Amino acid sequence: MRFPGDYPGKAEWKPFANRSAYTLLEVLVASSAAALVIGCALVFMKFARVSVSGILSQAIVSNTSAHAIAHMRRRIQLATSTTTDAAGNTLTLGFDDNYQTDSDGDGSTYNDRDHYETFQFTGTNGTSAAAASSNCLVYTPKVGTPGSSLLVRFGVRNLPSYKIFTIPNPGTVVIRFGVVDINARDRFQSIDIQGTGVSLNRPVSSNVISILP
Amino acid sequence: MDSDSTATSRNATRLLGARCSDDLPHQIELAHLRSLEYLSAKKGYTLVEVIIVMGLLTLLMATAASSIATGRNISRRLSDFTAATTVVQAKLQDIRAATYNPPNSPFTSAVVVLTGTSSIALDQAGAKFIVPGTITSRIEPVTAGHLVTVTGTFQTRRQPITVSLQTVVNKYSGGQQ
Repeated sequence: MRFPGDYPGKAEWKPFANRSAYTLLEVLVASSAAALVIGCALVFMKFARVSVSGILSQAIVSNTSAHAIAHMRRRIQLATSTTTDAAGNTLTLGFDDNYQTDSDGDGSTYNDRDHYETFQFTGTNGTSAAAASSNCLVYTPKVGTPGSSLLVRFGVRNLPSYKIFTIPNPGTVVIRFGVVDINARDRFQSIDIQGTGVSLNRPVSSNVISILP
Repeated sequence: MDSDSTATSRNATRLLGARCSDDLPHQIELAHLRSLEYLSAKKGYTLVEVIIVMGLLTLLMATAASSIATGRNISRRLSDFTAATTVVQAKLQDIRAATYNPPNSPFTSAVVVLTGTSSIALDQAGAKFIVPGTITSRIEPVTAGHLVTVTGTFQTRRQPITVSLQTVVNKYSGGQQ
């Protein structure tokens, strides 16, 4: 049987024998300092987490809405007809699939409506950010056939006293909507989009200026 | 020097004299010894040391927090810039939609400047726009038709956002039937 004192090289442990314990004051000061540092670090990490999350959310809503308006503008530019419903929630665009064929028999081969596309707001109309969480913008590339995609997945809301889609004159579509971040814990992130799409294939009577200020 | 210290010192001397190739375990033991002696000699950090370290930590966190806050501002500014760009682009489209029949207005032989207002950055309640702005459209005759320059200036809290877009409008660009 070996006792602690019998270990070879016991002289090497001498330095520990000389050490005295910490006093209560030392422990209190050290604990306070540690608590202060840890507290600051926790507060900082919370701030950093919320902020970084907010930055990313803001980037997402910006990119999403910019992409959405650019896509709508491109499609409107090529459309041969533009209509909306009374609530201004659905924009229907007509397209001529074959510029060599006069499908509607009006004597012009370039202005037919061979298929329709829709941009549809689904959800509850309003400007409230809280109620916008489940609102989305759906794009249907060909009405009557299955398949649609979410252009904006969440947080779509109206701008105050504006419909989402307005057609002030044939060939011109004014689009106004906002997108809010649905994650309430990273503060409030949002963007508002006010854009215009002009169809190149429009009747001459539609050439009116000053739709927006 | 007491007997234990003498033994330690003797042991250390023996170990220091050992060759690297044949006495590696003893060298490791020596390093351990030295670290123990260092610990025993050191009573703890002084108040000044602790304050300096905490100061450095605070500085580090403040710098990081400042960077993150700047990131947030840039992100917000990017959104405002996107919103401003869509408004300016809308105005540009608006002018492109007008019938191009010079010298009928607005495509006259002189420079035409149109000024209007617009706002961006809807508040959380969705009641009002926070950032007001001015949209200026300048239509000037050039050889190829008319050069349209639309400039939007929005008065954001820190630094105004200015977006300027240009296009040339002529009888080929309108696309009307």
